[in-house]
Amino acid sequence: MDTDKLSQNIRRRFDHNQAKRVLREKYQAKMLFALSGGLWCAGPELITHCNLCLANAHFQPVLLDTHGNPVKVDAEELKTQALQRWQEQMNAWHAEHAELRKQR
Amino acid sequence: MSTGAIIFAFNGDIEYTRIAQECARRIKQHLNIPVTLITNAVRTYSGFDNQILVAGPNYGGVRSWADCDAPVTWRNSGRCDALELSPYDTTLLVDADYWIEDNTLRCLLEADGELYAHNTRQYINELTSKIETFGMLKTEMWWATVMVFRKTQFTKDVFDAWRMVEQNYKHYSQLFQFQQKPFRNDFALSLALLLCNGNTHPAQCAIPWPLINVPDNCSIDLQDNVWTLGYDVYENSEFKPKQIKIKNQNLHIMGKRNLEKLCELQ
Repeated sequence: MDTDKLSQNIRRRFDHNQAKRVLREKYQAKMLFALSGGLWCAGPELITHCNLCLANAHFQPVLLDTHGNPVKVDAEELKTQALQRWQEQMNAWHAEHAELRKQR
Repeated sequence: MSTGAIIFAFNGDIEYTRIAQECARRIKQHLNIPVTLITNAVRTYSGFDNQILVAGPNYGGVRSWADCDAPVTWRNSGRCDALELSPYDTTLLVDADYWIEDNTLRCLLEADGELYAHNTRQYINELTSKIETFGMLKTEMWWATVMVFRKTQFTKDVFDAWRMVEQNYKHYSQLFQFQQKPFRNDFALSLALLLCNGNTHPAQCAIPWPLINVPDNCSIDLQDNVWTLGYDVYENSEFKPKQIKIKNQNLHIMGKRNLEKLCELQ
């Protein structure tokens, strides 16, 4: 590598805002999973919805997936997968976010 | 039900088969599915489970990239044959320059949708994701970079329409008022989806996250699975060099020479 290029690379500042935005896109994509033929996005809304169904003894409700298709699902299975995915990815997101904050 | 990936690669000024080998290695590593190479090269390439020999693309065009000194030949026609050529029931069709870093695409392979493609995109150096449009009529663009499809009637209709647009590209370029050259699969796919969905937005086909594009004017480095991407941002009347680091993120790397260099590093 020539010295001009080297000094140019050293001068480059870490773009924290952009890195944060890209990280958000990445982890939002990772929240998606397939179950019973539908595509679901793990998150508080889905988990709460599943909890509500289970609390009212609707064990096989029909819910709308991310594409707006009605899908008959096992609420318990959906909740378990959503919760697991949510926690896994939020932990990974948190760890990577903390790592990025150290970058200069 | 079989699931696998196919990659089209035709060598020209850029050695796409070499780039496809690295792309295939990543698909196997992260998605654990077989990969078929579709090429016009007679020799057998390692890293693929299957290789299908086809006649070379009839046309394509010449395209300029920021990381290439001169315009390069771009051989991209014939992608509309993917449905017929695919040996799999569920197919992941990826461009050789789309490098997979995680298993995010697996959910699309397991879902019931007939066809998925990216509608939104985000450039790595831009603030927000957006839906790109093309031509004077601002037709919504669908990216042919990554697609997941099953062999259904709707999918067949889309690929047939794609072929029709490709074969009558001049006519469609005049109708929708976009540049006739070079031929763009993205445009042909966009028009095919529009036609097959009754001239309405085919929301059911959208991959629910943006395609992350690394523009050809970015500098790229890859070490220990961490990408360092450098770019210039216009701030306070001057360009300032900035960079970000990314890992475990699928990327569409638009700088072809950058890809060739990265292939050498692997």
